[in-house]
Amino acid sequence: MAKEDQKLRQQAQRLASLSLDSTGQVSPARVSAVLSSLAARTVAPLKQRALLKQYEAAVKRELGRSQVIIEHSGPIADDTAAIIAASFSTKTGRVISAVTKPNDSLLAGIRVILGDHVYDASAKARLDRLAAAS
Amino acid sequence: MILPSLLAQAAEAAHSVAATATEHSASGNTFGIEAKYLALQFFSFSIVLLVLYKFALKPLTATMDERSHKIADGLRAAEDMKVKMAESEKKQADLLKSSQAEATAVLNEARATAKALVEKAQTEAASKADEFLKRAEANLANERAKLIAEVRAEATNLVVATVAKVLATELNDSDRSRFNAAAQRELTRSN
Repeated sequence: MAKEDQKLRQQAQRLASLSLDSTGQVSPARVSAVLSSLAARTVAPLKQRALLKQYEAAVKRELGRSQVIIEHSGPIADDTAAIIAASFSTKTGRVISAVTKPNDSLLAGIRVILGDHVYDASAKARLDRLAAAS
Repeated sequence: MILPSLLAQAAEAAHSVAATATEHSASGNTFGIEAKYLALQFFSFSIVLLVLYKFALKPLTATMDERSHKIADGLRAAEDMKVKMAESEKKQADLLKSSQAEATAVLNEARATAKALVEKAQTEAASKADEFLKRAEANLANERAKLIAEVRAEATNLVVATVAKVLATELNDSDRSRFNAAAQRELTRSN
């Protein structure tokens, strides 16, 4: 059972990598093509459904890697999102888009979320680190 | 023993009398002494002497010898008893002496054992007291460190919570904007 799940995950990951364009971003056209090819296959419905779920999760991960979420408390400059997106694009080597999201619980500062990684430069994070160190 | 000596003395007296008579007869003067009467008297005296020896002197001598033997045996037995008594007293004295020495040795050993036990108990008690004291001190130090850490954590949490509340209420948009600009520089620099 575990081997079968792993095989499905690997298969979904391959399909997700086929869904990326030359810039490393998820391409809607390629996703449609992948889904069409999956629909044309004659596979057991349960297995097909499990593979589609794994594919959806992989595409979401890829989308998360291509987009940073910038949480902030208080006003930020107009070019802040563009500067941060450009910085992360340089680091990851792929085109990264940015989405801003107000979050007053940060007290002040910015938190950047890229996929599974969180880069926190907020006042709340500094206070949490201070509390954890004591 | 006595009879032969008496017979020898009687024979000697008869010979001296006979010799005297012969001398007197040789000289022709006998003084009224006849040799045959003298010999007869010697013979009768010998018979009396023999009877006396047989029925009086011999039993008396035997009785005296027996009594002498008994007395000698008694003296010998008394001497033996005396020697045995001395040996017994010596044995008793030796036994008493050895018993006293043994008792002294046992007493000394008991005293040494008791002393060693007391010293051992004192040493163990002192060791246990030291160990208990050290353990108590270590526990006290641990408790103190734990308490200090807890107080420090509590104080830090309190300070952090207070600062968070103050920041939430006191920071204005201008302050937040400056902080956000600094955060942006930090994030882009670290990347």
